[in-house]
Amino acid sequence: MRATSLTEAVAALHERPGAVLLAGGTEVVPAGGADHLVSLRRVPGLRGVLSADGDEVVLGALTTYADLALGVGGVEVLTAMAPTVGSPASRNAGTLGGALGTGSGAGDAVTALLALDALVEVARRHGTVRVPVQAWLDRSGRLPGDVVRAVAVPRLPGHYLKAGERQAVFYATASVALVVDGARQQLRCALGSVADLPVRATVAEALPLRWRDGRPVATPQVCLAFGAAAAAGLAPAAGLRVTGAHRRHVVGVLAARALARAGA
Amino acid sequence: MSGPTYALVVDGEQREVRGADQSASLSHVLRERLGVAAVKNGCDQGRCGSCAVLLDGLLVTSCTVLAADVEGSVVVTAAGLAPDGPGSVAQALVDAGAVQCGYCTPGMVVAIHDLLTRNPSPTDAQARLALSGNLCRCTGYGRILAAVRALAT
Repeated sequence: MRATSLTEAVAALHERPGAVLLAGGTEVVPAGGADHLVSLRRVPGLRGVLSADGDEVVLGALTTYADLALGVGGVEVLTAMAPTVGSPASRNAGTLGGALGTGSGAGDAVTALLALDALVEVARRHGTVRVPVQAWLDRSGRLPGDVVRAVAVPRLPGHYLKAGERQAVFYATASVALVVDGARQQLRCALGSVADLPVRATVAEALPLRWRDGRPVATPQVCLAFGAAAAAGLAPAAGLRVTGAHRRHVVGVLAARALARAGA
Repeated sequence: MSGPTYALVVDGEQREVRGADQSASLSHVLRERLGVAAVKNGCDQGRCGSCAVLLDGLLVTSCTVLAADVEGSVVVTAAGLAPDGPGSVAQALVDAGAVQCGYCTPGMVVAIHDLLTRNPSPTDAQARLALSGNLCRCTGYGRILAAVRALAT
């Protein structure tokens, strides 16, 4: 069924429990198995910047990784994240809404959105609500029949570092999304591929730091401490050819490097 | 579940798809229903690039596209991209010795065409990035990149 509006898509999901939303198809089509698909391809007005009000950017659910890689939205951590995902072909198809729908712990987009404290704009029968991305991902804020309309994110500086076995088309061994809120002198650091969902490195975020001109003072010792704090307490599962200990090690390296790049 | 008839424009020709499963991918429909051999199925996961086509001008892996969802779209495969003659990507690959088993070749043709359309003079690094979604098990990519250099302006 090809929806021509969000309202139609929401109604279709309610009419057929078990129906699955289809956007770029990079996850849904290979997986097969869904009895009923509700395509969003023809719903207008869901791609790119829907609004940019002060420091908040609202990006439509059908915004692709290719769009983000070109700098659409101007949100640094998303611009840095997008080129690390998949291949040129899959970046043409994969979407932010799709990433949220999949909600994987290895998902680069959701890791970056978690660092941004993104708000997910969700279309429901009675209207649109904003759900914090953490609550969307852990499903506490998610209801059956929900359709992601957009994500609202702050336009803050940020970095995305991803390590893996290849240069393209790879799931991260580990990834780090770092967002710098100079006005509040706060760092927001999310880790990917360390758990069933991306996690915030709250211990690392709480490290006392000096700030200068809206950026953290990132001496080598501070960076190492930040990396160690990000990795501490993690017990990532092993992958096919990677141990949990290695993942934890990579987190420490990437977090330290991210802070160095963010630093004054 | 068998679906309704719909049309696709494939390599410049209007084609009708009848009785295809509604859940069929575009690669399956192109290859199995419409007999388009210039689409290979290496992984069915969107990871190898052998099924790459241009869909309304955009490079995609056809195995991750639901065929019924793109009714009416313009699909271009390697067969539709000037297979012979000067400026032909396929010919450049042959001339460079970049074709061994040939399985990756159609997808490579489409991806290289897409690259050169957007960037007629790519650096090696840009070419590698552009082809990062196309796996080749035979050539080690050296000859393929040589073909891209030969085609670059």
